[in-house]
Amino acid sequence: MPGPVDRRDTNALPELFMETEKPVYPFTAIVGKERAKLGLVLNAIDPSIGGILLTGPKGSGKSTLVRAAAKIFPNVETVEGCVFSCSPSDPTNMCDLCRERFESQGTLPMTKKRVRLVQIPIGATEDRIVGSIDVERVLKEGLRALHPGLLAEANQSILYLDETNLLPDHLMDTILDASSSGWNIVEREGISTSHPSRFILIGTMNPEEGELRPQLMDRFGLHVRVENVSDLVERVEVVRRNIEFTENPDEFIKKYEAEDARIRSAIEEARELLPKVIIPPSILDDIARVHYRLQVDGYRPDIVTVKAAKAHAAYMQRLEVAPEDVRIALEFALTHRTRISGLKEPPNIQEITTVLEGKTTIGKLIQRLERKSLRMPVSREVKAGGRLFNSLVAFLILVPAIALLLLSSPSLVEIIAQSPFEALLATLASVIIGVLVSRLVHRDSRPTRVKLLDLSRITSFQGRTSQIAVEDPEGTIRTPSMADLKRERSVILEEMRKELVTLKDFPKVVEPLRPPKRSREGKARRGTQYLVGKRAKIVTSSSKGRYAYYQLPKKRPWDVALVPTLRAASPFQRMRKADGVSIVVKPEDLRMKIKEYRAPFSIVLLVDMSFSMATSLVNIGRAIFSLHRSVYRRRDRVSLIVFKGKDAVVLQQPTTNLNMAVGRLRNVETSDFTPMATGLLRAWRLLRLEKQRNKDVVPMLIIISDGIVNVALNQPISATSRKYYMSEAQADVIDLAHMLKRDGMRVIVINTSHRRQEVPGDLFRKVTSSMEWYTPTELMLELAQITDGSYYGLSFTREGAAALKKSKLDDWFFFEASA
Amino acid sequence: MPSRPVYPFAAIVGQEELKLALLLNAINPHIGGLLIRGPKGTGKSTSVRALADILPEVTVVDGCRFNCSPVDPTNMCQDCLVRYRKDDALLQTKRPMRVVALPIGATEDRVVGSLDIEQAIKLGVRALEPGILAEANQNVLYIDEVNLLPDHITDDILDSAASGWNIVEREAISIGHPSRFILIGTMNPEEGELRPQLMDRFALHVTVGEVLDEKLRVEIIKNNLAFGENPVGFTKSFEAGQENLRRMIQEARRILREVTVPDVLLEVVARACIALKMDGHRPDIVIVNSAKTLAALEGRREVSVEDILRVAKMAIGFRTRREGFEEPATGEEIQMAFETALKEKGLIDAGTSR
Repeated sequence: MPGPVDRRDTNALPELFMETEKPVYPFTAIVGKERAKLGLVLNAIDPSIGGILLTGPKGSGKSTLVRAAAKIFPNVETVEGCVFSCSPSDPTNMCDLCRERFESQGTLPMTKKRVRLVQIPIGATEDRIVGSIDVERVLKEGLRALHPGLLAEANQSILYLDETNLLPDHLMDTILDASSSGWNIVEREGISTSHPSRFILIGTMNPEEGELRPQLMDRFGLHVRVENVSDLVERVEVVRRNIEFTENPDEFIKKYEAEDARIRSAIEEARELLPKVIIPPSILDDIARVHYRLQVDGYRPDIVTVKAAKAHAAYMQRLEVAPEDVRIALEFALTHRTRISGLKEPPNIQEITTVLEGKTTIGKLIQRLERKSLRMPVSREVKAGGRLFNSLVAFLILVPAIALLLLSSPSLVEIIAQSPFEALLATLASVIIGVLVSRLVHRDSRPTRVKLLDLSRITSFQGRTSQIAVEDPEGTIRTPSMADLKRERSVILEEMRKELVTLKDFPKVVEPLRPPKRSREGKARRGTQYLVGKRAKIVTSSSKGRYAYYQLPKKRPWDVALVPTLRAASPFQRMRKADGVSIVVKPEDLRMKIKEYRAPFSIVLLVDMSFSMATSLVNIGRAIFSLHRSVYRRRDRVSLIVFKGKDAVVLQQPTTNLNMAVGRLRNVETSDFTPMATGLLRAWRLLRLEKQRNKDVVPMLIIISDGIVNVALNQPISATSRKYYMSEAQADVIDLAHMLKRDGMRVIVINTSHRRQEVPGDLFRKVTSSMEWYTPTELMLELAQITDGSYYGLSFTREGAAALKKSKLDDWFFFEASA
Repeated sequence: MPSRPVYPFAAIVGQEELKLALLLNAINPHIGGLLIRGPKGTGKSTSVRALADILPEVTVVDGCRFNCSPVDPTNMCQDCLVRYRKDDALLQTKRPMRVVALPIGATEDRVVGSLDIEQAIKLGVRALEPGILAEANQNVLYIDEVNLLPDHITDDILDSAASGWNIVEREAISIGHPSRFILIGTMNPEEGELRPQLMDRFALHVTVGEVLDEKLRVEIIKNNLAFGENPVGFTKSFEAGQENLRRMIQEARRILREVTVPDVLLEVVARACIALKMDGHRPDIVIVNSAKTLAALEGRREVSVEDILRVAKMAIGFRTRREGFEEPATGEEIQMAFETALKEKGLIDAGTSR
């Protein structure tokens, strides 16, 4: 008996399918959330606005809103019987079949259909979205026909992406291609065809889970934030209605049917009115001006604003767009678009309001101030001229002072009076003293030459632990204030790209040019080249990833590449007996799919929080932000572990949301003691878990510390190793290093206080005692050496150290390798 | 009747919170699932299996691979629905509820279902090979160590749990089938946390720890030994308790619909959740649903203050707040928030509702 009927089979009674769907919570029954509802309504009025993205915390009702909204969209006209739901009136928007019929017959049979909510489930495979070869027809009729995918179903309907930020990149790209062109072009498995795919793109997202790339967010026309409800009455009503709905859905839906119908007809009326709505030139100017002032990227936002404003006017049954419409449209159209090529955050509602009302002097003033503070964190540059000035002043003050001193002593005066030569000596002496003293002053007031490490210019790097030869760019001091990192993040990103430490270069630099190892099960990792500069493209036989090519199966095949298999079987059909079967496939014909998958990194930032590290905090935060771009793109996960006192704490579980990691870092206080081994152990555990959850992930540990460890583990890793080291804490660190190496975890060691010279005392100790003892720097080097990782040493200049002592606690400096 | 006796629920010592959570979920799967946190060897799977044993039997369509209900059209696969509409007789049969365990290393194909290649090649038909979610329909789905499951599989499962449907869209098939189950997961927090989004979707969380009370520990050991030596006899001795539980569950299910929640308590819940800065509406809804179920379990038709307080910690003690920037609320914080809300509404703590 054949299995259950495919639900999209047009032979199955369509009404049946409707009943089997779960009852949907009515649109008008949703409490509050007026802005979100309005955004959805505007899209129903004018689908060309471009869809809407709803962001908000978990459980705030986003999915409920979308499902409810789908029911109030007016019906669409489709060609009867067409599986692509072609529009019957627009020949540029028809599949081949429909277009042919249209051209020959002039009209097409039309039927009105309900708008569908086509959801892309998280586990969707590419062939389901795009369409694939119709297996049944190949086997039965020998025809290569397209089995339509979700993009076909979504034509003239809604395409719903729940948890947009979790959708794999390659799927997202496919969907966005269709979204922007309005066509789905299928070129796979021997099929080459295309069909219209115009849909309203609706997405939901929870920022707690990670963010969406700005380019992707930009593709949504509108954006609205669904907040937590803090109004008591509203909240209670939500619960009450929810209970009512769960207990008796049919009755509940009936209660709101009339209201829903009212909205539906309002939308339909607005649609009729829309082509007649005009927008006065002055308003158009305003819109352009606002976009210009806000420095929004591109022209798409302007267009979207105009469309949304018109739709809103139509909804309010007005024939002319008013400023009110514009204000609302702006709030929808701009709050998700980054500005200045991504360097500036999207505008928030206050900013938009400010610019809109920018005619007031206060508004202008605010703008100017904001612009100033956004350009640069408050920083002071001590000018070079200051030095000279200071020493000059000192000189000029001191010399007369000393002279005065000398002169005021009567005995001296006598000496001078008696012998002019001695007088000259005395003057000379005072001059010399003056010079010396002023030199002292000069030294102290000389700005510390802080050279900033620019890793992107690293020249020689072998992946080994030799000290990196670092170029020495010209530097000036920047003394950033402890400003709100979040607000200035975009500016910091800009600066970092130019000058500061950027960890984003680390992965690039760390990938070794080695052939891959065979994994334990013997699964062939074919053709794996760790490409320097690109993410490792690992070819695996796991079921994730894009169907890349096929091969003869090595084990029990479970991901059959159907078309190559059938092609392999076809030449032999005549020779094989067809035992009541359409096509005889023998085991030797089977071809297995090989999928390609870009492995994400799982990066653990292990940060030392003992007192000596306090100065580097701001820069660590900045460095984490520099990972931003690559983390979104590559779906890297970043977690943060800090160690201080006697313990290590996972401040941030692996997440793709870097804001959270940095947020947590800001609230940590430093304390005494450095339990590095505990930190390493925690990190090792976390990475192991990550590996277990996703065997393709590349685990990486970035440890930032000064190497001064003094706390050992409660229980040693290995009973024997502690005997070889003078310090138990160091022994534990070495043991853990071996464990990291053994488990294939990549390590980057950043020593924040690298010292090149050996202290003679340590040398002495090495020679006389039989146990190992490392200086902090040596320990860090050893850590990198054992794990085959890379090492970056940052060191203080002498002046830097002096300046540190002098600085106020509010000023943070970042020092690094000098010549 | 069962081939191997299961350790009786009534014989479980201690673990009151866990037992309560299990019962509530069994009576009302709409609550939304239970996550049991704790180290190994604390009796998690034992209690889940014990639970299945006292659940009432389910009626399924004979021969249907999706365990469809023969009477509820919203819980039928396409096949069964077609036959139901045509008034074809759907053979029914009664069956005890099973605990369907999700194996470690389950692939998505196994969980969600995939293309039945045999049928595809033999008959040229696109058919679905049912996965675990089909097996679990009308049963208990037990996921051990849910934090080790790849995220996308957990997502699939939670999606089905929330909607009651499993929609398979992969590999040339597009089929939906009912998938309603009691979802119970376990995890050991030391081995890593679940994504906050996934944690949020398990309605209740209970932490089981080691039993520290000496007397209880001794009793556990004694019971275990007795069960090991003579399972049949041991279970028989608890038969009365088991019957009692079965009856209570059936009764509770029957009167659940009639249980009401006084408005003032709804406000208390809302106030407390606002004060604790909980995200979204799930916290409120879960508390209210669980409180209702608890009232039903105890044979009452109105929710009391006690009910709310008893379920509050299980329902919200693990949810991150303010979009993840704040840790979950502690027991004390929850207690305080509710007490304040109760005082504000003029209800005395530990009293009855108005």
